[in-house]
Amino acid sequence: MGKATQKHYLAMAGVVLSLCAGQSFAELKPVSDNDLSGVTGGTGLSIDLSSQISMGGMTFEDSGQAKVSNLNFGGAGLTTSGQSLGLGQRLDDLTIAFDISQAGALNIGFRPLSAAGTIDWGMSTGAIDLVSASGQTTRFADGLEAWGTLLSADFRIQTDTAVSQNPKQYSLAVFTLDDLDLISNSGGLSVGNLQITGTESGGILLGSQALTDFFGSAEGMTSSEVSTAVSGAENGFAVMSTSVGTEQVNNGASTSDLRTIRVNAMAADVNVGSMGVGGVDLGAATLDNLRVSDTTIRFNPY
Amino acid sequence: MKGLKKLTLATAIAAAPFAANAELKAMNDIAMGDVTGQSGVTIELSTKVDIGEVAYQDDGFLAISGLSIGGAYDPATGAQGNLDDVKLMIDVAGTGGVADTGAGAVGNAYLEGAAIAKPNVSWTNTQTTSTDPATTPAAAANEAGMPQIEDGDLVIGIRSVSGAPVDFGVGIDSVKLAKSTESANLGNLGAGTGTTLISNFKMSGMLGPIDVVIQENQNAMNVNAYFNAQGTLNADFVGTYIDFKLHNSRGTDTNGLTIVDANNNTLVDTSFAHAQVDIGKATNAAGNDALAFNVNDFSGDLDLTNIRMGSANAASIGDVYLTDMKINAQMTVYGH
Repeated sequence: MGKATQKHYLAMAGVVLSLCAGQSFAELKPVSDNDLSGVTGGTGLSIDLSSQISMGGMTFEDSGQAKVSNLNFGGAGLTTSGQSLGLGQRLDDLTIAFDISQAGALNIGFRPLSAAGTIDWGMSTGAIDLVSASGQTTRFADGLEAWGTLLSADFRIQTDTAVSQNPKQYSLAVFTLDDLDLISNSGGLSVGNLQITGTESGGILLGSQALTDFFGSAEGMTSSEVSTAVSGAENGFAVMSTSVGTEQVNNGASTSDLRTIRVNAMAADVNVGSMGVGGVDLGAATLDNLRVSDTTIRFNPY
Repeated sequence: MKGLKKLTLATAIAAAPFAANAELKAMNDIAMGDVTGQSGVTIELSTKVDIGEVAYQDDGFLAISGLSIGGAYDPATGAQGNLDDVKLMIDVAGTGGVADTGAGAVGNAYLEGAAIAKPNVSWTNTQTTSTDPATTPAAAANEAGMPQIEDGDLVIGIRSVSGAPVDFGVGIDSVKLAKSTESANLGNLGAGTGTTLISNFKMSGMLGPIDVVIQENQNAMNVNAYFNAQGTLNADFVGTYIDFKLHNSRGTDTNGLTIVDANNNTLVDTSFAHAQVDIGKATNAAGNDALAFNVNDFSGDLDLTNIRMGSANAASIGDVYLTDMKINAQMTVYGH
């Protein structure tokens, strides 16, 4: 074997090894070209995850800057109120399933590892500042803490022969926000004990027929997603179905592709324990049976 | 399929040349008593790999089209050279531990050692726990997951022939979904009408020291890597288009490598993100064997710049800078 050939094979081996590492979990079967037409595919892939992410800072820079310091993402124990309940700091008890359907749709599902449980999630930040181009800083808030639970989240990325089919990505989240606090020590905007729960967890109950009618008429939700949404709401969880993609929008003379987020359907009870601006207490607020549908947000850069 | 067969063949043959390059000496039984060990294998590598399509089939397909791995992309011409200047040092350590290996030290300790040995090299790292690198080069704090190298451990050190960081480039034309009925187009799924997840992915960067340790008494492969990268990415299915840069030059956690020539001209001035990953076997919740993929550390600074929405030609909405990002993740991977 010549030296060049050896190198070539070694390089190939490296690629093969790295490919093997990625594929060893799938039930791969050797197939010949003739066999391929009869193949019905593998079983898909599951990942059980336990994770925590931290960042010293995040800056969004346009002309000025919005700066957030000390971001943490993980379990509910990252927040003061979640920790007092003995919840951990990691996002765990989570399994993520990846499947590609025969129709070529990529389905990604987030579920609790134990069938009866929920996934607790949490985040916290340090100070949030707005900085002008000349360096002047305004403190928007001293920190943000939020935690809640997730019963399920599903992402569906469609493939359809109709190229114009947009948006392509649909998601359905069944969740609660148990406590959000926007902390302002120096008299900015403050929010305390913001909660988002299901429509059936308090106040006037909608009932399963009204929930079925509401989600059933939502654009882009499959029948199984409607039943997931209804049973989630009945068990006290907020439900939100959204889709993301690009849409061609006619601006008079020209058309342009704009990124679009659609809220297909959302149903929740919202409670705000306390609100304040500049140190002045604005009191509490309750939104019972908040429902949003057919709402489109388009991002138009200028 | 043709390509796959070749790859399988390559795997089978690949193991053989390792032995061919080793400094093996013929010896008799009497001489064996004096043997204190061999010198390990060094492989100098130059390569470019192009794959027309990598297709993963579950029921439908996920197809990666136009995958290329080689040297960094030329920023002016977009041309990609070979992944070259790579030196692989493969050793099975003895009682001397890390001193028995070709690189002599892992990760941060290797860079500290290089900076001491060569006056034209300087290395700083706020993660280091070494108070006096001249006498005791030490692992960085974020390398804590790497095992101490002991007798019988297989150690693969990836370094460069020249001593400067190795430049690399990875490109992907598109990642697309396809229906199971498109199996007749296998090899050309990228030309189909399926949803495009990602397109025009081009990434160039530098590799610092990368070390792989497979312990004699653990079913796990421990990887410690210093690297940086920058490039472009289109996430078509959500209408988002970004440029990105991964490094570690900002915030309180930073590092920096500089190399100058004899005339004090700067040859290298860069910083590295860090990853420490263990890959092995685990048991999932159902009690079955599964692949364990544990990211003990992924740290660095990430710039997401020139963010566009709707189309790649749209005006940028601004930039997002993530500083001192640290990710820790335990993953158990299996079929379902």
